[in-house]
Amino acid sequence: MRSLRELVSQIYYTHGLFCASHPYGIILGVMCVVAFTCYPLTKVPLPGNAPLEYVTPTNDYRPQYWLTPPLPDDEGPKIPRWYQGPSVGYVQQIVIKSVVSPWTTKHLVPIDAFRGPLSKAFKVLDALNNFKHQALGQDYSLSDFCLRVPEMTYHKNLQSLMPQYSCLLLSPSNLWHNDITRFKEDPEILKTVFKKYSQTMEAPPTIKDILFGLPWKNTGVTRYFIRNRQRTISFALTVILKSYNQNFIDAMKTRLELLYPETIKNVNNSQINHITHIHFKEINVFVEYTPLIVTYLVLLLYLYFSVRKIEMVKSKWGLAFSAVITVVASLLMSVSICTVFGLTPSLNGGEIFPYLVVIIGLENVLVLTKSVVSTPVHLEVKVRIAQGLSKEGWSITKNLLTELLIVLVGFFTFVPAIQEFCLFAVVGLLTDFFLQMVFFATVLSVDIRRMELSDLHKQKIYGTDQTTPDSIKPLVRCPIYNYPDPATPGSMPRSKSEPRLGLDSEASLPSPPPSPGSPAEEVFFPGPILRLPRRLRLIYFWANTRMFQRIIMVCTVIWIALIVYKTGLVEHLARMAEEDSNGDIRYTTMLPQDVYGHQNGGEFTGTFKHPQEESNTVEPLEHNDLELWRRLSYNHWPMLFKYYNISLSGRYLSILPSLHLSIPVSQQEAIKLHHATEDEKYYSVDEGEDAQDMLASHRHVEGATDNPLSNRDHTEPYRYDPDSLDYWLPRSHKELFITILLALLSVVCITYFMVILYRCVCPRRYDKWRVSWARPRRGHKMSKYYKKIKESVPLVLKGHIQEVECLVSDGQMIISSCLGGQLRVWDSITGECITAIQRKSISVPMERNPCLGRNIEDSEAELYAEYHGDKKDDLSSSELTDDRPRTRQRNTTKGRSPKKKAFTKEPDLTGTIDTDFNFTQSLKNNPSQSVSASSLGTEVHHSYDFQKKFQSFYDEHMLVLKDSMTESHKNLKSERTTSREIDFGGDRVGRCSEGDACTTSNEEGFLDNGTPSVWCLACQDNLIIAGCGSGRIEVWDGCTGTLKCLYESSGSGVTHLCFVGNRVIAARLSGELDFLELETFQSPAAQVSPGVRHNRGYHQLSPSSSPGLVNHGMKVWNEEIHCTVIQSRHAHQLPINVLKAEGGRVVSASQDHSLKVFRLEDCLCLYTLHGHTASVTALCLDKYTPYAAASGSADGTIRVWDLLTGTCVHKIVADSDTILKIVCTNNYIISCGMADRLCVWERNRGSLVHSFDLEPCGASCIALLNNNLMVTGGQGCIYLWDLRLGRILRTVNLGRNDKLAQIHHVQVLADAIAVCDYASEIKVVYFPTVIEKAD
Amino acid sequence: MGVVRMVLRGSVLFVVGVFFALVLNLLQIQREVTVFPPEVLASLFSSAWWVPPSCGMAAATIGLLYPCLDEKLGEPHSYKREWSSVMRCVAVFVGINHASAKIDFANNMQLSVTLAAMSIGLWWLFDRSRSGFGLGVVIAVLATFVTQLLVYNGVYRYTKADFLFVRSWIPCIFFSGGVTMGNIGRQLAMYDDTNKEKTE
Repeated sequence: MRSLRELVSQIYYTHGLFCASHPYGIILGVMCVVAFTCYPLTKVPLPGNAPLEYVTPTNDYRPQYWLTPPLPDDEGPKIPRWYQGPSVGYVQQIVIKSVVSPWTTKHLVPIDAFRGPLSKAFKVLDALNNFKHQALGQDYSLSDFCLRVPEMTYHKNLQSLMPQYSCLLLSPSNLWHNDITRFKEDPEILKTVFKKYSQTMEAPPTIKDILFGLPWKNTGVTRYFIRNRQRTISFALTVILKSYNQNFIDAMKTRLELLYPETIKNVNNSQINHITHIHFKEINVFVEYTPLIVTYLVLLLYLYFSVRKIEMVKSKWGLAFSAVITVVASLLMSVSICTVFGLTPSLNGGEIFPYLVVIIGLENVLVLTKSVVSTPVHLEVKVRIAQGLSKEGWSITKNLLTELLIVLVGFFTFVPAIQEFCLFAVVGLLTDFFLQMVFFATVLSVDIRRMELSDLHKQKIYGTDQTTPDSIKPLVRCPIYNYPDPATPGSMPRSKSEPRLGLDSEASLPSPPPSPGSPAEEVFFPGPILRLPRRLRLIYFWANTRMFQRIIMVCTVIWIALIVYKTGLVEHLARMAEEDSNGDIRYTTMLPQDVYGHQNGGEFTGTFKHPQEESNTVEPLEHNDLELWRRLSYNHWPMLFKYYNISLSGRYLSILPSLHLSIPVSQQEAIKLHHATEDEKYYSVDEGEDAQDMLASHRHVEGATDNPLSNRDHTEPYRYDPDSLDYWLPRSHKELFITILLALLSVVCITYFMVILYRCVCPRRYDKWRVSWARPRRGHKMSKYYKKIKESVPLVLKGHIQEVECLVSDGQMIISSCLGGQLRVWDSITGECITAIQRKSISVPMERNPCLGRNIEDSEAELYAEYHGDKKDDLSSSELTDDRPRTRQRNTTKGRSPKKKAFTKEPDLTGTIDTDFNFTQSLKNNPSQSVSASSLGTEVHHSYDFQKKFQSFYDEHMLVLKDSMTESHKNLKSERTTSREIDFGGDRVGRCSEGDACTTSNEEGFLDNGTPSVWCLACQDNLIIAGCGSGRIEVWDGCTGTLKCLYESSGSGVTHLCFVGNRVIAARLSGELDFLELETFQSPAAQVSPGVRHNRGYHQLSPSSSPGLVNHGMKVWNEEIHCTVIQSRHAHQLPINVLKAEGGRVVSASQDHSLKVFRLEDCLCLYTLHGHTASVTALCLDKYTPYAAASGSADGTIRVWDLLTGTCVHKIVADSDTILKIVCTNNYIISCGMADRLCVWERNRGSLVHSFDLEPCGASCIALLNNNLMVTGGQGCIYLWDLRLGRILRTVNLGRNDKLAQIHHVQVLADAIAVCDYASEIKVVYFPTVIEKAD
Repeated sequence: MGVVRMVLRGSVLFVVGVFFALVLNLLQIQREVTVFPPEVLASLFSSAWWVPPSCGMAAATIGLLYPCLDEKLGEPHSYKREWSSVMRCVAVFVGINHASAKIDFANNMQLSVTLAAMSIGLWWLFDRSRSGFGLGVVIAVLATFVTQLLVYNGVYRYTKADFLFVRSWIPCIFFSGGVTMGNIGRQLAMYDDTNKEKTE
């Protein structure tokens, strides 16, 4: 289930990415698709009022009179409820097809093709009117049966054309008032036909449609014609009969067939023997529409309440509009699709429409919007869309399937109406889903992009790898769009000499052949290899393009084949359609040679026929469709009766089988009908045939020979006739569809091809293109390089007597504190102990030195003067200036700066350490009193006289010192700033190198007033800050081991420290946050003596005699540090568990279930992040701009917060137990809880990638080497993990097997070094990476 | 304050109930519309003046009862609490009525089964709470019983003589009506609650 879910969300992710990548193309495409699918709708009667039909056979037809309504349970064929009572009228149509035959261009003018056939209308009309039927000794004429109509009440201007106070008998002759002479004298008969009689705007059934009685395109009458040729004209005489008399109609039929004998050849008039009754629904406005209005009202409210929920988008209305469009278009599409597949909408569309909308719903759209909007703002638009889709993908799919299921249940009701509704709903749901996914998602992406552009305050994204996480790689890469890799914005120039790593390996790493030396070698991709995916993508792109090139080739071949085959294929399909529609109607096949043109003398020739003829096939007078009235506008009959104010609604009309006549018109007859003006216009018949011949040849018009029916046997050269274009016009809808389909296909192919070409040619992409070209060739042998990780023997840092409690490092130094309170500073490379600080004995340094007691406001010049004065003056005199400034400093900081001068002038006093500290007891009585430890001690102290004890040492030492002093004085003059370090450093190095254990001697001068244990450490630039359980914050110089500053305000223990720039933020057990600022008076400049180089792993020590430096590049805090409180806040009510600072934000996680975000500059609380339901126990901050935070809580949830907005981005339910530790990479969140289960979560989606069981109690020691490698500690060993693969790459054993200590702290230095504690030792494990060549 | 709100809610529900009674009555009458157009309108308003108000009362009771029951049972209803969802529910309810009025069913069995399925579908789509279902069933049973009583006493009369037909038809409509009204009532109650919180 889970994998299915993931697959679904992956599909959605890919889809979202695709949609957001090409928004405009997709929107355009969707519009085309919608338009295409909605095209058949134009032929569907508009909502709801589709007339109902009921067919009864002619033979046993009895006119209905008022009967009792049939009972619903009646057996036999079901009779509709409306089929009661008499019919409004019986419609008898006499469809006439007429053609001038034979046709000769010599004698006939184009208009003759219309004039002759139309004149037949008068003839037939006459025949009808004069027809008498004898039955039972009585003569019946048409007027006895016909429906007599009163005066026209509607469209009075048509009164002259329509019959009044007589039979309702319609024919084209009505246009000429049924007067043949009028017809003959009409110079422009077509103008008369097309004349507008009523309003300028006319709805489809116009007067000419009603008079001709056939669908207009079947009449063959065209307004504009050029060619002089034979045309088949069809029209119908429509008679509305009041009463039905079978005999009369039969007699009329035989009579007319006798009159026009051609009919027999062309049609079988008795083929259709049923009467169709058409019911026109009644519309009772009040009753019918009230519920409808209510439903529409509810619908509107529903839409309103739904759309109102769209928020946080650029254009709310735009999205709302497109949401509604989505629903409406999907409904239209569903109706259209249903009609195409032969389902006639019998339901009232207007009625079911609201319910369909409600069933389909806008929920998905809203859910999509919400989910996309809630994705992190800093991500790329594409990724946001993709994430939003993938987040909701599963639920959307589930809902869709559920709804489909529910609707499908409707089929089992076996009620036709419900089944139809369900069918509509199913198709509607599917089309809506399609539109939502394709159209709405794309519109959303456009909107969000717009919002992003308009967002001026948007922070620039840099640095981080925001690529799509590996686990949700798009399934299919779009070939057109080159996914820019956000990890490497811009093209990074890369040296060619650089070996390319692991080219032939992707996520699945190739297992290198195990080298004999190190059997456990494995491959991994640290640091620089992260950029590899870009290259890989280029290669994939290349690979893809080749694949797609092939596809294109195939497509093109198919396309060409289709073009070649087109004529035949389309013709064939069109014919199939024709056959389908005509069913069993007699049908003569087309002669194949008629269709194709012949090459004749290099000229394009052929017999191009009018589509009318084409569809009528060979015989111009043959009637193919015997129920042409079915193709009439659905409004035809209501309109006709409306003229006489007869309403058809609620009643029915019976349509009798139409009578079909075929009437050829002879040439002479046609010529006889010529109007005088026509003769003049074209030619004079009397003038003979020469002129006409000339005229004909001049126009390059070649007609047919004398016999039009045989003209297909021999084709004539034929050029540039406008009608020839007809050949290219689609003849049926099916053909149109096919042509459009092919055209679309070709457009897609061509576009794609153009894009490919563009990518080849476009100069801006040239480099990439070239790279992708070059890669496969060049990279073949280069790709065998890959990185291997090795391990080195752990470096052991021994020195602590008790177990290591805290461990921090700043890259070069490792600072550790043990339970005993001792601080040690180690060099991370050599493993040497630089300083050991015995905090055990520390207290406030009591030294006095004039230069230490400076005021902050003192200018640099004063400092200088003071400093030099100090040097030159007698120390006793300098003592006088001592006290005043010092008191002020004491007030503000309560810290004492150690007197450096004292140490520099110190002799080695290690030998004098008195472990009996009883003597200090006396000092505790007055701890505030200053105690001088001046080496030149001229002052006598009241409490304790060090002088007595150490005088002899000092005297001894002074002699040695004198020499160095004079030397240093010279140096001082030349380089003022460095003088003290030189002086001091030389001394220290000397001492340090002399003494075997680097225990410093600075216990002297401190008061031992109890040692608070160190709870936390922070360090930066050689400055160590220790937070103590007593609430004290100590600032130490890591190099010298001197106490620089001390801050003590409250007794609440310091649980966490952050040291950023010159700010120290301390979190206390009481929930307080102290913002401290460290001020120095001299920048901690890096001192590099010319003789010492920065050689990693090669630590050079200066000899003791020379004034060299110990520390390479370390900052020496040679000057005073001054600690001031900026702000102290009671941030949380309960103890603060974790405090982290990154990028100007300080985040504190507390037991009071909340997190607080502070701004570093002004210590302002920006957000309080609520959401956890238990103590927040773990916190991790991003190192790069989006500055997200991940926090873990005691309730086992992990939340990812956006620190820019202060909102919760994700919530992951990780564990049932307390989360102890969280670390984040760009792609993963790694959490570990009480249950010792290490979980790796995919960061952007919050899905579980891997989970492992750790050793018990190994939870808190997790550290990341880089984005893919992680180090965890265990029992006596540390593990190196590959996050992507989720397995252990290395296990480094730290101790002997018999005695294993648990590792509590792991720190990572410089991406490759892991530092961990091992009981009282510290182990440094280096993981070097080596580039090796694969064999 | 709470009482005022309650009364307000009740009156809103009452109005809604009256409105639905009129509209749905119209729908039911429509079955015969084609045969006797003019009489319909007269019968609509003349037949029983007390029907719409009693429907309104019932609606108000149900609408107030649902949130009350939720509170009493301690199962706050949390499924799809949005006005759009309520509107959807109302639309489906009208649709069920519409279908029962317009569609020609082959027999009464089919009609009743279809309607029952639709009603339960409505409940499942928009309510999904046990209390909602239970109350709906209770309402349906009670209302049918009351209607039958009325019919027996000759106070009210079915337009159709087909007895079974009516019986099968009534409970489903009442059930779905109850669910719909409950939905509206709950939504109103929730609106009130949030308002209360805001003011406090």
